[in-house]
Amino acid sequence: MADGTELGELLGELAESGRGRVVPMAAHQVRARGERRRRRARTVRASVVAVFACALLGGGIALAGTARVPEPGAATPSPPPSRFVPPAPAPGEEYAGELGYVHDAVAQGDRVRITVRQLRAVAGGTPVPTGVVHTLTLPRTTPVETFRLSGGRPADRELGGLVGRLAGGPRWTFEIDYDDEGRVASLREAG
Amino acid sequence: MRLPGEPSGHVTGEREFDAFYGASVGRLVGQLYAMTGDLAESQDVVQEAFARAWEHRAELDLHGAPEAWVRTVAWRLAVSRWRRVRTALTLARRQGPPPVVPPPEPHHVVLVEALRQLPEAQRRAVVLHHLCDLPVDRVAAETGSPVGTVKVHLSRGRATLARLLAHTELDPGADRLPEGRHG
Repeated sequence: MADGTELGELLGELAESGRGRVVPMAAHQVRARGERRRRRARTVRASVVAVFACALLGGGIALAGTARVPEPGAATPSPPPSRFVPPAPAPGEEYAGELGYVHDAVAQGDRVRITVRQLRAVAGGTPVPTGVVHTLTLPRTTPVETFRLSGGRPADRELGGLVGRLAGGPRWTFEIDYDDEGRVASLREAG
Repeated sequence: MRLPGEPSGHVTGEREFDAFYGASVGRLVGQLYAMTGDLAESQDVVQEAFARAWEHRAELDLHGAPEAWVRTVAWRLAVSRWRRVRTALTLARRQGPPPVVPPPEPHHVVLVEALRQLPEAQRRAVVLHHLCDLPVDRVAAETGSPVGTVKVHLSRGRATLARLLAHTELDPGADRLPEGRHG
């Protein structure tokens, strides 16, 4: 390259070479991908409202019935055995997804334990809790795709950096991606 | 996506988005290629960023700079280094037949290797300023950095590139490219 060639021209040639070597997807395919993301977010937002309303209603009923409910026994009830089975990817898919609240995050060295309160998507309706609650212990570096958690802008985080935000009760909803061996590859904020 | 002067309506939004995508996807892939040095990765993250742009098109209306928004999202995806191979876009690309494309020119390989040796912030500033022709204040706005920091990134980035390319056929002439030339 001649001495007089400027950096901008070099970069321009490089960019143009790259541009000429790719075949972008059709716009409608990109829109379809965006629509899927949008529908998922909308569905889960609706579920958050519905579950919150149920929680409020349930709390009210519990308070009203306090006088009639006997004291719980002294023995600490053991949690029911988990019915959770890691989902398997469908044929041709790289990952299988689990929708659920992620909460009660606890840092454990280089790992993070989270509780997942599973939700089930309902066609044309509001996702509902499945009753399945399980825990996952994941590396701190597990990638997490956030949106509301990052102030309304898409961002890529690591699970270890979100422990504080996810330490409380069920609030944040995620799609959890499992590979074909049942391992979690990543989390994506869904609501 | 609705830009100033565009009539509202779902179909028109699609047309507007498609026009925006068609006009800018190649340019953005080229820019991200210069930033990342990985063409396939650049295509993936740019297309994923456009998918998010469609998903969040209402926010883009308010933002008023859709191409910068897409570039920023694509850059964040790229620097995450998590290789979002799980995305449907990536799967679709990898399942399709490999495109017949010419190999990169040798001097482009040299330049990419040199760019890869720059710290990410310097590389991004250099590309935004010298390839995207953004003035320093707009580079600062897009990167969320103070103007002074951007100037430091540019200066150090050019100096490093000049050193790395000194013994090659490429010489960007770093000392002849003050920030003021671009604003």
